[in-house]
Formats: sequence, structure tokens, C-alpha cells
Amino acid sequence: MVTLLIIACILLLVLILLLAFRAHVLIGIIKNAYTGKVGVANKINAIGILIFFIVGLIAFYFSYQTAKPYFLPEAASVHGLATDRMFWLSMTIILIAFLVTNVLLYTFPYLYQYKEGKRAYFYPDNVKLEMMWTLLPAIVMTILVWMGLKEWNIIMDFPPEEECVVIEIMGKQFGWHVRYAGKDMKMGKYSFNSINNVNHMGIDLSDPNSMDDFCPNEIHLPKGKKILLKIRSRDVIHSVYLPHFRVKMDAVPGMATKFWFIPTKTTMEMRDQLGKPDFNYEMACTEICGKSHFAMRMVVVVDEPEEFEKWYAAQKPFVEENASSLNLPVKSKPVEQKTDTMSVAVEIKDTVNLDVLLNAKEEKSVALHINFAPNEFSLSEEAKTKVDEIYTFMIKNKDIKLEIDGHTDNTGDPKKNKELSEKRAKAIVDYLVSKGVKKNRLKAKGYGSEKPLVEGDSEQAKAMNRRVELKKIN
Amino acid sequence: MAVVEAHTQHLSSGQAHAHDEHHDHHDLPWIRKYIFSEDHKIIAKQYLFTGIFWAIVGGAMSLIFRLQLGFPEADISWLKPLLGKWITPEGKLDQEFYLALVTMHGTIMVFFVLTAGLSGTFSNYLIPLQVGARDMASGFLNMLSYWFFFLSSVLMFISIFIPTGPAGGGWTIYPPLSALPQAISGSGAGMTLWLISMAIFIVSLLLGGLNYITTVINLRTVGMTFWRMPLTIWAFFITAIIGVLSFPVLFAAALLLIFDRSLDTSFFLSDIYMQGQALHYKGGSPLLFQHLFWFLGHPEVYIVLLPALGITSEIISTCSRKPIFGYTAMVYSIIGIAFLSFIVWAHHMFVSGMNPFLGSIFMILTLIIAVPSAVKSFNYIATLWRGNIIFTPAMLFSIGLVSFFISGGLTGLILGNSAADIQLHDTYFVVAHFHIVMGTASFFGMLAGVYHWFPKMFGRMMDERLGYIHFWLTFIGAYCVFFPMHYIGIAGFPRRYYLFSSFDAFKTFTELDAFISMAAIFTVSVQFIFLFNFFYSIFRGRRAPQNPWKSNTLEWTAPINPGHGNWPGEIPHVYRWAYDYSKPGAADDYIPQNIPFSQTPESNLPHEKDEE
Ligand code: HEM
Ligand SMILES: [Cu+2]
Ligand SMILES: [Cu+2]
Repeated sequence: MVTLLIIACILLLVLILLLAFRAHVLIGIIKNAYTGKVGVANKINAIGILIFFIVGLIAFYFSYQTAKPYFLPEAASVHGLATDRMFWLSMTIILIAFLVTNVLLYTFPYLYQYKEGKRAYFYPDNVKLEMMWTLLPAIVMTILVWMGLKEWNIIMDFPPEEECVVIEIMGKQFGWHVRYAGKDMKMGKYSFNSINNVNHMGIDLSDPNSMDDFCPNEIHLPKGKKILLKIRSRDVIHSVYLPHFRVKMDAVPGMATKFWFIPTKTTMEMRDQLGKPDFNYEMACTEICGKSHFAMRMVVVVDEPEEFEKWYAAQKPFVEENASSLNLPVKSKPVEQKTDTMSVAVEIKDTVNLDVLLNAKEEKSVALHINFAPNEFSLSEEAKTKVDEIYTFMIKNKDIKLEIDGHTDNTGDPKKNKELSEKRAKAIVDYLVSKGVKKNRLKAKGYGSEKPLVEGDSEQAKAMNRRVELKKIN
Repeated sequence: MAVVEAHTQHLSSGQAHAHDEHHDHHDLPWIRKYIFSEDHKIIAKQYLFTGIFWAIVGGAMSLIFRLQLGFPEADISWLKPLLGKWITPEGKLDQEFYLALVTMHGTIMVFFVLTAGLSGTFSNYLIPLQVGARDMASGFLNMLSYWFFFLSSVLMFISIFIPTGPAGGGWTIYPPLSALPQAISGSGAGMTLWLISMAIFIVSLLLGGLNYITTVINLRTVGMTFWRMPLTIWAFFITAIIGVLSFPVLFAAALLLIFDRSLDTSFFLSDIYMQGQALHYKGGSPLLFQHLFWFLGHPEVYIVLLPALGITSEIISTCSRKPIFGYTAMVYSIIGIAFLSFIVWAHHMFVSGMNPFLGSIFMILTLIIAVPSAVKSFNYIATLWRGNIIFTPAMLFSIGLVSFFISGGLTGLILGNSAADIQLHDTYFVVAHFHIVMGTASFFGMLAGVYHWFPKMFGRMMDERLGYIHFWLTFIGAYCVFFPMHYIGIAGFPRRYYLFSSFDAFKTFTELDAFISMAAIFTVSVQFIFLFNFFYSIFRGRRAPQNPWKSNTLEWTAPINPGHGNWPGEIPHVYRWAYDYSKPGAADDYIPQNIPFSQTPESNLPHEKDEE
């Protein structure tokens, strides 16, 4: 109703304007065709230009003052302080140029507006003047280039690696993974072929140097030390952006890039200085990388060097943390290997929240472990209760469509596995359809043992791999 | 597309009328005269109408994503009839579709509006009329050029509606994102259409460009030496040369990308693991694509801007009733900019991982290009000095252009500095910079051109008062939209972000973002004043006199509605440059180019006499 009213009002307004305009034109036509006479409008426009400039300057000043507190967030690196200084110096120079040229640009139209009977000054050129205003910007540019080059060369002059705390950063859709070299201070090799759902960074696990590498969930940096970031990506281009440290460098698949800097303020110092007790340094992505480009956040913590040492020493190596899923013979913490022969022997508790599919920031699939008897594809009662969860989810969210993928472990004939997994997926679909879900909202697929969740032959791994995955489709 | 067709038809009725009056029509079937026409004037209008159509589409897209940026919490289910499944059940804009909108907006604005719409319209319309030629060197190729553009437009337009959505990897379409459909849904069929459409677009542009170049070189009328050409022609001429040299590089890049996408080659791809799978690509370089892209991409910004500057030179001189100041310097700075534009491309790649030494070199070259640009600005201002200025809408838009050119050019000095660019790269500071210096400036040039040459194109005048209102609202609006983006950029906000609240560092400025969005809605809305004025005046505008602005260039010596061949009799000869405004001693304050010196003894300078 309200919308209708608004539309009606707008239509009416447009109509009135149209009529007014038509009348105005008709009068114009009656008066005369186009004459080219310069009327009072010329004066109004001339004054308008002047007013625009003055009001614009005032608006510029006040908006600048309001926005200023957020400009160039407090620099927290050595080179950042220098580039900030340069930024403001360049800004001052261009502001002067802006003011000088604009004063002329906006006052001349006012001063030299059309006057009946006046003649413009025939002034086609003046070589001296032109020389001068070619040279002037050339000199200013030279100064700017010289400043920039000096700074750029310092920033891009990398110190030897041994002097630095080395951190490997890898971007992926959509998040970051980082790795430190561990106690031996030697980073293991990596290869994109070794990447899987556990080993996100493709760390080469046969390289002894990898054994103590650790991959924390946030970056820690020691204050006052040289930090070397070794940057890469495993899928599309991302860009490491640490706004407070004035650090930005693309993460490129197949090509290692790097950046170095020295942090100058700990997180604590920064919190005190800004008066924000919950302040954190952040890392963001600044190269468009897909759907959740805007959400690639990782927290960065700058510690005093001693704290950093403590933190560093307390980190558990990656292989140790993930020993069970990596299925590695790890000395420090042997995994208990269950050897039940029953394929359903290892229970995995699914604490699955299907809602993640709804607002999934990345292409998400949810793994469910629905138990089937060996070589069987009909649903047990226990299995049905799990499928019921899918059912309620689909009823709640009327628009969602799901693909249901069956997966088996790697025992037995791959071909048979595939058939079996497909039948199981179909069984789930059929059950859902029987309960009233529209058929076109569901799709069944079987992958057999082609896409294991984790590598390895342990029962733990097999149990993880026997699963059903739900994928949102369009 | 129907819109365009319809316009073309309307146009034809008006034109047929004109033809009857002048009794100069050839017996061509209707379709050859107005649809598959070889007449540069019709082709120019076809470009103009298509360009306007695209500007509406591109502008509408910017409003949709500005809504998201300004009011991220708002429920926009009411857009569902328009956007369908791209509005999520919660009433939010789909994240991938946001990127697709940004991508299409950039592509449309840069290529379809400001390259085809601007260059295509005015190069086509003005080159033959201002150099004194009956038509383009090859009318047939010129016609092909438009229809290739049309085809490319159709494909790009279709891509907006396909189920997986249009291309979404940014207008720069960096692989691997643009190469792998798994990476973003827009990289599926949408990207394929984007690449094919752009390839066809390049063909169109090359056909057009070669024609412009040939026409300027070969078909100038008697006496029209290079150094007597109006600056518009110089600008179109040099622009065409830049286009012909740089667009084939984009063609190559697009082709290699097509190979990577469909033939499993690895030109740009290497070491990729995606969605649970290690892909087979090996040894390609994503940076190679960036070099190829920007080898076109940077010259492209001058392809967009130079014609606008040429148009402005002409208008500022005419409406100040003064010769353009430093004509020779203006020409040399166009040439200088054109040359330098080829060797600054890597300033877009300072932090791409390329060798830092290259960064140093490209910083130096980039800052050199600022010199000829500065010269141009100074010369504009000097032209205004002691003029007798008449503010036509075209003049106002030209002054607006100079204002934007200065504002945006200056921030370029900061971005060209590689050390400062580390922080500012890919932030809103860049968005502010290029919208002002290239987007808005060129847009103003285009509008100025339409206002100025409308009487020539349609034989009628646009309404001046509406023109003034349009100018003032647009000028104020555009500054309100793009100036505050500097602030957001200096605060470090990255571009191509769907939402800023995911970071503590980017949570400030929500109000400013809302303000910008409202200003954008306002600015886009007031363009309807222009559209109304434009279409209304085509049919109902006051009849134009032959030379409404008392201008010196040749097109105003042609009949009010020039027929095929432009001049009914002999093509006028040219005796002087285009800028004899307010010459001391002359009776009038302008002396058209076709008046021999022998007729103006009272105003001739000592060295000026006819060569014949
Ligand atoms: C009312 C007019 C316009 C508004 C409100 C507007 C707004 C914007 C905004 C906010 C973005 C950044 C979006 C993001 O990074 O997430 C953008 C991108 C862009 N705009 Fe505009 N714009 C307008 C007109 C133009 C014009 C006239 C041009 C012509 C050059 C243009 C060219 C571009 C380009 C090339 C991009 C970059 C696309 C990309 O990142 O891939 N825009 N626009
Ligand atoms: Cu990213
Ligand atoms: Cu550039």
C-alpha cells in the first residue's frame, strides 16, 4: 500500500515536472528559436563555480578533520614509519599543487565570464612560460622519485635469512596457514602434491626438517626483530596485507614471494597507546580471490622477545598434533592402532551442524558418518535417525538443494566400492524423498574410495573415510 | 538490446525527415541506411546509443553493490524480482554475485562505455567532419566495426543472466581465479562469454582504429596539414594508434587464458590444489598474465582519457573565445603521454612479487608521465585566463573534467611511488584515484561532447537549463561519491570487499560508506535529467542554427543536417588553424578554418599568408 502510494506520488511529480518543462520549452519556441544570446544564466554559473570551490574547500577541511583519526592506522614497523612520513610529505606537495591550480581554475571562470562587447585576449602561446611549467613539475617529480627510490630500496633489500625470524604464510580459499621452522630453525620442504585435508600446507613429511615445524592459528612476532615472510598460495592469488605494519605482498601459486619488516610495538603497547584493550593486529587479503575474499582474517600478535621465545618453545610440532590423522609413526606419541575387523568398529562422533551449509563462506561439505553393515546399502534404524537430521534441515530451509556423496574406505575392489557407495547415497535420497522432500532438491553420487578424507590404512583413517558428504548445490 | 534497436529506429525517422529536406539521399534500402549503414554519422550514433545503454547498466550495477557497501545490514529482498536467486533467503546480496557485479561494472564502464561509447562515438562523428572528408577511409570496415561491437555487447549482456553468473574475478581477470570454474562460479560459462566477448570487442576496436588512423592520414582536405588539425583530431588519432598497438596484447592474453581454460595448457597456472585435488598444471606464471594485461591496461586508461581531453580542448577554447594555449605543447604532450603510457604498466604490480628492481624502473617512468599531464592542465587554465567565457553545459562539463583531471592526477603521484603504494595498493585510495582521473573525468568529457555536438548530430538544441541543472547536480554528486573514498583508502580499507565488519581494522567509517552510497544513488538518479533532455531534444528540441557555438572547425560549415558525403558541394579548403578566436583586428571573435587569409587582411599576423 505504502509502496503504491510512493509510486503514485513519484509518477505525479514526474508528470508535473514534464508539463512544466513542456510549457517552458513552448514559451522558448514562441519567443524565438535558439539565439545563442548569453543571458543571466552565464552569471549564475560563474558565481556557482566560485561558490562550489569555496564550499568545497570548507567541506574538504571538515570532512578531513573528522576522518583523520582513522588515517594510516598507527604504524608499527620500522619501514612503515618511514613510508608514512613520505606519504604525508607527498601529500603536502600535492595539496599545494591542488590548491594553486584549483584557485586558478575556479576563479578564472568567474573573473573572465562573458561580457557584452568585451574581447578575449588573443594569447596563443608563450614558450618561456611553458618551459617553466614543464620544468617545475619535472623538478618536483625528481624529488619524489628520489625519495621513493631510497625508501623502496631499503624495503626491498632483504637481510640474510639467518638474521630473521622466518614465517611461512600460505593463502588458500579462504584462509591463511602459517608455519614456523620449529626448534631446529629449519623449515622443511613442501609440495602442493602433498596437500590434503590435514596437511593443508603440503609439508613434506619425509623431510627431517619438517618434523618440528609448527603451524599455529595465529601469528606471533617478536618486537624489534627482523621478520621474514615467505609467502605462497596453493590455489588462486591472494595478498598478504598487514595494515599496521605497512606490509603487502601477493601470494602467488607456483611462485614464492617474500617481504621483511621489523615490528616496533607489541600488541600490549598498542592496546595501551590506543586505549583499546581488545585491539589486535590483523592480517587481511587484498587480492580478489573469490567468494570470501573479505573474510580472510588472521590475528597477529607482537610479543616482547622473551614472551615470544616462551610461546615459540611451547608450540607443538605439526606432525605431533596431527599424528593420528596423518598416520605417521611418531616416536614421541605412538597412536593406538585398533585392529577390529568389523568395518563399523571405530565409532566417530559426528557433532555436525548442518547450518554451516547455509552461510558457508567457502564451498563447504559436511561429512556425516552413517553406519551401514558391510556390503549392505539399506538404512539401519540408527542410520535413519541421522538421515532424519538431514530431513529436518531440508524442511527448515526450503531453498536448499543437496548433493549426497557416498564414500567408502580403501579395502576391497575399487569398482565395487564405487557401486556400493552410490547405492548407499541413493538409499539416503530415496528415504528422504519417501518422507516428502522433492526429488529435484537431491542428487546422489558415489565416489567409492576415490576421495579419502585422510590418507593411510589405519582403522582410524578408514573409519574417517567411510562417510557421507553433504554438499549444497545450486 | 531491444532498447538500442528501438532508438535506432526512432532516430531513423528523424533522419529520414532531414534527408528529404536536403534532397541528397541515395537510393539505399532502409536497412542499409540506418542499420547496416556505412555512413560514419549513423555509426557514431549507433555507438552513442549503445554506449548510453551500457552506461545505464553499469551505473545500475554500481548502485546495487553500493547498497551492499553502504547498508550491509539492510534487507534487500525487494530486489528479488530483479536479481532472483542472487538474493539469499536472508535477503542479502550473494557474495559471489557482489564480485560479479563489481567485475561487470568495471568491464562495462571501461570498455563498453568509455572506450566504445566515447571513442566510437566521437572519433566516428568528428574525424571525417573535422578533417574535411566525405566519410571514413573504409565505410564497410567501419560498419563491421560497429557490428562486431554489437555482437560483443550481446554476448556480454547474455553473460549477466546465465545461471552461474557473469565473470567475477575483477575486471583484470587475473588467473588462476579466472581460469578455474571451481574457484568462483563466475569463472565458468560467464568467464567464457567474457573472453569471447572481449576478443570480438578487440576485433571491433582494431577495425575502427585502423579506419581512424587511415582517415586522418589520407583523407584530410586541401590545406588541412597536421599542424592545423584541431586537438580533438590529434587526440582521436593518437588514441587510435595506442589502441591498435596495445589491444592485440590483450587479445593474446585472452587467447592463452582460453587455452588454459579449455585445452589444459599451463600458461598462467602452476602448483594448484583446489577442493581436495591437486591439479595437473605445471610451470605457468600468473605474473605473465598480469604483465600482458597491464601492457594493455595502462594504455587503456589513456585510450579512455585522451579523447575526453581532446574534446575538452576544443570546447574550452571555443567557449573561452580564445585560442587554446600552447597548441604545439598540447600536441606534444598527447604524443608524450601516448609513448610513455606503454612503458609504465608495471606500476600496477609493485607488490605482485615481480623483481623489486623492475619496481624502481617503473616508478621512475611513471612519475615522468606526470609531466606532460601537468602541462596539459596548466594549458587549460591558461586558456581560461582573460577569456570571454560562455558557460554552455558543454563548457561546464569541460571545466569539471579539468577539475577531476587535476584532483585525480595528483593522487597518482602518490600511487606511482612504489614505497607508498605498498600500503595503498588495492585499497579504496586506488578506487578513488581511478574513478576521479579516468572514470569521472572521461565521463564528463563524454557528456561535454554530447552537449556540444548534439546540434550537429541531431539538428536540434538540447535544453540548456536542464543541462545546467544536470551539470551542477552531477558535479557535486560525483565529488561526494569519490572524494571520501580517499579517506577510506588512507585508512587502509581494501577494495573488492563484500563487507568490512569482518575486520577490527576496517570497522570504522560505516557512516561514511552510507553517505557515499546515498551520494551515488543521487548522482546516478540525476542522470535521468540528461536522458530526458537528450531524447526529448532529439524530437522536440529547438532547431539548431548552423554554427551555434560560433566555432572555427569544419563540421560547422556543413549543412545543419549533413547528408551522405557531409558537404553537398565541394569539400571546403582549410587555410588556417582551428583556434583563431578573438584575433585582434578581426571583425568577429572567430574566424573559421575555411576562411583564407586573403579575406582577413585586417587581422593577419605578419607571417600569415595563403600558400596557394
Ligand atoms: C555512479 C558512478 C559509479 C559508482 C558509484 C562507482 C562505484 C564503484 C565502487 C565502489 C567500486 C569498487 C567496488 C569494490 O572494490 O568492491 C567500483 C569499481 C570500479 N569502477 Fe566504478 N563507480 C562508478 C562509475 C564508474 C565509471 C564511470 C567507471 C569508468 C572508468 C568505473 C570503473 C570502475 C572500475 C574499473 C572498477 C574496478 C572493478 C574491479 O575492481 O574489478 N566506475 N566502482
Ligand atoms: Cu584471498
Ligand atoms: Cu597504469
